[in-house]
Amino acid sequence: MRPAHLSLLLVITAFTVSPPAAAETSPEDWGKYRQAAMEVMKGHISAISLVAFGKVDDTGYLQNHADGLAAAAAELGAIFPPGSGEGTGSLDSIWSEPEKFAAAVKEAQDSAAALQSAVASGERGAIAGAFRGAGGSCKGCHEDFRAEE
Amino acid sequence: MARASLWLCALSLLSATAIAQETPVQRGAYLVQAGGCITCHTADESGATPLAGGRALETPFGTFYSPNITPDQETGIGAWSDDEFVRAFWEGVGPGGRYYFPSFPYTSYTGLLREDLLAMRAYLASLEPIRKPNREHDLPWYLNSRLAAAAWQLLNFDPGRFQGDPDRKDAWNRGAYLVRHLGHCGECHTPRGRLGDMLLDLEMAGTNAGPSGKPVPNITPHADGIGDWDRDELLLLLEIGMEPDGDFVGGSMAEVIDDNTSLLTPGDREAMAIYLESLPGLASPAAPVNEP
Repeated sequence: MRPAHLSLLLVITAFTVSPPAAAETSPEDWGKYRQAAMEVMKGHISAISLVAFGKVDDTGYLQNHADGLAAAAAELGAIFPPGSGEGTGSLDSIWSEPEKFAAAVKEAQDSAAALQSAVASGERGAIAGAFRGAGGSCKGCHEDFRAEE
Repeated sequence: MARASLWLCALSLLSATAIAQETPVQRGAYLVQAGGCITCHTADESGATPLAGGRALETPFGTFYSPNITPDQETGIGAWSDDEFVRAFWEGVGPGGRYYFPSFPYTSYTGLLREDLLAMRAYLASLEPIRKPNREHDLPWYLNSRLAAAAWQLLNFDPGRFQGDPDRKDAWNRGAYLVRHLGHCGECHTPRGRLGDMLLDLEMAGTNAGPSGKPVPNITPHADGIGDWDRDELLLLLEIGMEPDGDFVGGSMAEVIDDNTSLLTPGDREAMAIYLESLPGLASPAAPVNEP
């Protein structure tokens, strides 16, 4: 099959099987989706911390966890569309202070990338330091943008 | 009693040795952090001057505004004497016999040692004076008088210095001092009665309605609290705010970690953990009890 035909087929497939557009997604479902995305990050973070602070030896997959965390963090800017916050534990400040929120998202992504690099270096001290940095961005974001439960 | 005094002397000697290199101002700076003063006495807006007051504490009893504690002579505490400063913490009474509401946690600070308070005062006096008048509290009419604060104290306040337990190790005693008095953890983590009095039978057992109406977790070693946490997990929470499942705290605890516990020495964080682990494990109380 010629590449152009393949592209056309992919476009048609995407349109025919794609789920309803985000405009129809309720805040409740956005909340569930964000919760799921955060759970993914929590799992990676917890696993990385156990290795970073010497509780568990690297199984050989620590890099996967760091990569997974960075991949999950990459999505942060895309899962808080306007109007998706009501009743979800997201504070209005996400949308009323968009520049501040964007900066917090960027910090999360940058610190996750730094953790990826530290893990790649294999130095435990560097990993623990980068982990603290990533954790600081998690805490900072929750401080400013997550409702107290 | 004699034994306790002897022990306290030993403690003073120990701390005096440990801090021999520090000036009172440096020691006071550390204690002001460990006392959580900065969080409440700094307005909650970007660029706010630290310790110049103006932060709102919204409670079921009304909104309290923290005062300016920089050494400005008129709007801060620059004109206070040492004894006036100490009395504010020990007795909940300011200069001129002005009774404080327990939004200023003298209920916990009453246990502080005089030498620590004077070091804190020395540090505060070393700061630049900021001229910023205090904002009046916004309270319902029946509380809008210092007489109400005096009546509250009569009913609910039990003043007294920290008495160490000579049968416990130094770290446990240090932890008790940091958790119960200087760090005043119980002001949020202990449920309150109808009058806003801390229910000490449920000390640190958490509440569905903390000072600002939000739930505050149980931090006793019970399945409802930190019973499943190990020492390192507690230390990581105090240092960087991570919970064992990989979540990170936000809200007011994130501020406590930023301004206070992350800045403590590892030894002091460990002392806090040792003390918390030693508490009786208490189930979380079922319902909020502090409706006024």
